[in-house]
Amino acid sequence: MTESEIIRGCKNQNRSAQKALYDRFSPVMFGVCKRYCKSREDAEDVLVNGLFKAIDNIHQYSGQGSFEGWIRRIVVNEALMFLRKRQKITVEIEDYHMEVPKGNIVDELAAQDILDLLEELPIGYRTIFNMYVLDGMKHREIAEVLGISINTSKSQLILARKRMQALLIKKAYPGVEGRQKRL
Amino acid sequence: MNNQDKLSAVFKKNQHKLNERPSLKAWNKLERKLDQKSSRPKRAPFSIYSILAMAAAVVGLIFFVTTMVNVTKDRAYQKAVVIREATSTEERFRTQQILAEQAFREKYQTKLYRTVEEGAADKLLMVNKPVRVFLVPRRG
Repeated sequence: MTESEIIRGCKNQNRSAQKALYDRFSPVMFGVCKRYCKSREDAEDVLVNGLFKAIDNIHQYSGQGSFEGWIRRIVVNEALMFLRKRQKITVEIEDYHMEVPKGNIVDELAAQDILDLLEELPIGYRTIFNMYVLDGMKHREIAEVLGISINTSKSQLILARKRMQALLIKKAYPGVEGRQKRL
Repeated sequence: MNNQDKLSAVFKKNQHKLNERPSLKAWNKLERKLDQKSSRPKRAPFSIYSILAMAAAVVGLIFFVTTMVNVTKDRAYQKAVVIREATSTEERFRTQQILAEQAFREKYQTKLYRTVEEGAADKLLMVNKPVRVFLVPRRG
């Protein structure tokens, strides 16, 4: 089934089109949800609610821009709503001049490595890092969605990157190749 | 490429590794939600009765608000009025004048008689309708 057939079918509430949309987009969107939520169960709940909203509001998709991007935005919003309900997204106040150890960053990261690294960041850093670096949102949008200033969003991103870089280097992160060698 | 850019690039490059098919339970949950939505009765379009009911409610609300505003105004007026005895001669004279005016109004105006104002000296008073004209004493 092509993307336009899926969209047309979902607009007519055709169950096989809805299933096709789920089959096509759920793996990517589940990856997005896992980045924002700490547990797989929470990520699945967010995914289900996000995809339900996407299917329910599919008539609002104008056809301009990527369909996957439109779904991703809905799923990210759902994840942020979930985080807000569960715990307040707080911004960290930290010294800008935090020392970052020198060293190289590996090229490859395994899925679990990404999740483990994100897990080590405080919730504010992790959310902004996810939104900006991995979901391609602008600081203006992040500020609007999280109810913070653009400058706070920028500063949080700088600190999140520094913290992530420090984590990678400090732990002498071996990457996938290193792990394989050790095994 | 500095380390900051490299960091972003590494995450972007590897994020697809997180893609994974969710459990079967996820589709079952979603399907259940979709079923519930489709079995929910659709809201009927507005009927004439609902429009009339809404109009009646609006009129009722306006009546209630107006009444409440008047009651509040009356209460405020009553609170603002202070009743005391007339003390000076001037006050007593004025009080009598007011009472006389009130008595005059009660006697003549409530019977729907209208007083005829004096016009200019060079004009004639004409009555163009077959009405009875009563002479009443001058006010004051």
